[in-house]
Amino acid sequence: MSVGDARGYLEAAYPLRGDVPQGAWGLVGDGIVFGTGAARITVRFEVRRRPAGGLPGDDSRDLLLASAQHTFVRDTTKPFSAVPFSATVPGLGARFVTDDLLVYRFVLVSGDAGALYVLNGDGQKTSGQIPRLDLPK
Amino acid sequence: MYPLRRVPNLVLVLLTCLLGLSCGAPSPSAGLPASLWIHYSQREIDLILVDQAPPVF
Repeated sequence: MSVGDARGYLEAAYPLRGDVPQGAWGLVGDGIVFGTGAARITVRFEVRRRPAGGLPGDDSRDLLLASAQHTFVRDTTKPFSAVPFSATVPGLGARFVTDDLLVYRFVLVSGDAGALYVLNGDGQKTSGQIPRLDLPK
Repeated sequence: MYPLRRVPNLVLVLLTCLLGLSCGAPSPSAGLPASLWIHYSQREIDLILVDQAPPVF
């Protein structure tokens, strides 16, 4: 996901299998910043509830449950290491409805020209964590 | 036939079982895990959420 992309976001979904209580959402979004000469990129993290019945990718009926925003600054001494981000934010709950989805979306807000944000799928190998959601208890 | 004096014991056992079942009944949120991890599928843009920490990409 890079500055200038037409789409401007990535997301992943999980089928809602039970009620999610209102409360504290844990958002982990470690990422690696790439791009020649690029050092900063701002990403907004969103948790959404997507009702069943829409076309794939249709977010017009999404309900935003929680969100946070962070500016990643590349460490020039460790340019290929993950830049950490985690936050705990208050958010809404979601009542279970069959086939509804829980969506974790990463929205590119702004950044240096050519900056690229890659979710840290390498986990500890790049000195970070695999991005995840911690659901309210 | 059950001897009559065993009936209270049987009732007690049944009540204990019912209590155990109700305590162990899943709550509405029991179907969801505590955490969901991002996992890459075939391509970078195809992301899914999984309920176990995935192996590194």
